[in-house]
Amino acid sequence: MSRYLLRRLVGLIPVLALVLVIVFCLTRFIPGDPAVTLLGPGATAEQIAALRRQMHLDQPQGVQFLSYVWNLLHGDLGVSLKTGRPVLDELASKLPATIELALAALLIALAIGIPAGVAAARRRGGVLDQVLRVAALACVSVPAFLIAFALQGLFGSWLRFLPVAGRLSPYFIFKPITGFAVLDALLHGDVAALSDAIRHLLLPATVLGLFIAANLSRFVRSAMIQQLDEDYVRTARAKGLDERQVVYGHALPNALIPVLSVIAILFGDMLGGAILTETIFSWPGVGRYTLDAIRNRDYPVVQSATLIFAAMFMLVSLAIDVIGQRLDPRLKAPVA
Amino acid sequence: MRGEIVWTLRRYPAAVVGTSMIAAIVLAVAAAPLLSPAPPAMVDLAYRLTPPGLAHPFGADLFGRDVLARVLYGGRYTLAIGVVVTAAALTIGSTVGVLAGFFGGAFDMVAMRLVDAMLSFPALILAIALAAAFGPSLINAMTAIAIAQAPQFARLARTEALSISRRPYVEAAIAAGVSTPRILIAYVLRNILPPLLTQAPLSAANAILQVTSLGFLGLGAQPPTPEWGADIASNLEFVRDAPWVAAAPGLAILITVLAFNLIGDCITEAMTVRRRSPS
Repeated sequence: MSRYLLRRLVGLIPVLALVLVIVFCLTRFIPGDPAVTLLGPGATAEQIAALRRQMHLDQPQGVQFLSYVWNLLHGDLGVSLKTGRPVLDELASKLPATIELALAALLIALAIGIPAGVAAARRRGGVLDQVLRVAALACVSVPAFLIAFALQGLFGSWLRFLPVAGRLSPYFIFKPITGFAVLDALLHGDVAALSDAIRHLLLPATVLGLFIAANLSRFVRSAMIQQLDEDYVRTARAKGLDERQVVYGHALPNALIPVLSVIAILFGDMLGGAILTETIFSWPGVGRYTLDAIRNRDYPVVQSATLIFAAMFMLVSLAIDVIGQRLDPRLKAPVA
Repeated sequence: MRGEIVWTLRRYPAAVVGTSMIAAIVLAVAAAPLLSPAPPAMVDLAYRLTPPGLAHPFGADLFGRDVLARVLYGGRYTLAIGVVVTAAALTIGSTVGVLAGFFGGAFDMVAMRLVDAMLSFPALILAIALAAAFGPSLINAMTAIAIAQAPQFARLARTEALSISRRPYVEAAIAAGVSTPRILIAYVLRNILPPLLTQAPLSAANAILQVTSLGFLGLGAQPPTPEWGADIASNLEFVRDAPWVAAAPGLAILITVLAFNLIGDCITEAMTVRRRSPS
């Protein structure tokens, strides 16, 4: 087990190095001299030269890359050009909001996607299967902003039932303990704040989760169809086991093992979707922060946020691989 | 091959629906000048944010421009985006994949680690970062999405090329002294193209969704280009009071992407069935 994890970690090193090269190169694509862009057209040659020295732009690219990695290893992600604060601190303060949103979306996706996939597989080719298939394809095809506007209009403006923006109503003020609004409200024992936080979370998490649920249901369906054809299912039915027990107790756990790796890929899609969802719902997370930084041409922030997203994706993929390997001993095959 | 297509279409009605939808969209955008009540760029402030009606069937936007015309002309961009981005991603990906799979060695090592690294980024995040670095424009957004999609094609192409390069007929061709470029194109590429092409409709669907998303975020097509995502973004503050400015282009995106996804879904299902049935 630990040997598997070690081998995976060693295998990640060259990939991680290339990820850093890509992130480093991102700011090098930008046409023009960053120092000139920063100072604007009125800058004198001396000012530009001074800023270039300060930003180490006068050093060779290789040296710049190495010092970037060196600073990174020391937790120095640079300074935001807009606020002047360390990027690491700003990212750390936005990250809990994004993780909270992603977890809620994942919960919704699992709660809808797995039962829908199982139901479709059990009535394969039937009316319900067809309906669920079209519904899933529609959910995969709809742009996130269209669903978001529809839900905002329905629940926010028309029914006045759910808040359409933000994370917590401004009259709930308490000292953040974890940075997770729901968890903080729980820790403070503030029921009103808890319900407020959950109500804020519902719409954005649904928009983000629906896409994942639709994809998930398709994969659960095909994995379940495969499992329901297996001999052990026939045996279980032949010995007179309750059908619910056969489906949920025997077939589903086996079907979920291949689905696990799909969840890792879908998690990446979810991080991408977070930029859109956070922007539409004014959710104060890393996604909206990144987009603001892009609009402000705050390149150190864009660079680091991209890296954070990649790191989260890699970490979750690795964790899911390790879990899957632990659950299914047949996956002990050597890793390429 | 022909009989196979007919058989597939009969077996998978959703594919027929998807294809018909795309045909209808192609016809509609081709006939855009005939179907539009007004030119897509014509500003008429007297009709600012008019609800759908006789003069403007889909309503008018914040400049009084006809929404139907903008959706129809925007469709030309959308279809081009789907086709061009997919073709570019497929070309880049299959070139790298075929070379890596056929030659192996150091190039294979480096290329595949690069593919792994690019796949370590969530696709839309990589595209957004690239589009931000290149600067906001439709072409740059399309380039960014094509680069973000290419690694998936590269990985698939490499796997296929690897297995085909070991086939006896390729070894025979090498022994017979057929030139390497000819082997790569006529023997390897020709045989790996079908599995790659089956991914094309899904890739086109994703490309359209992502390029319109970039347009919506202001990182893609810029106003006054009648691109669907950018059009929704420029009317954003009026969505509450004049929902038609977002509904028409939004539904147009949904319908177009759904058409490509219906076809892609059927192809995927057809492939799984064939792989499972004993041959």
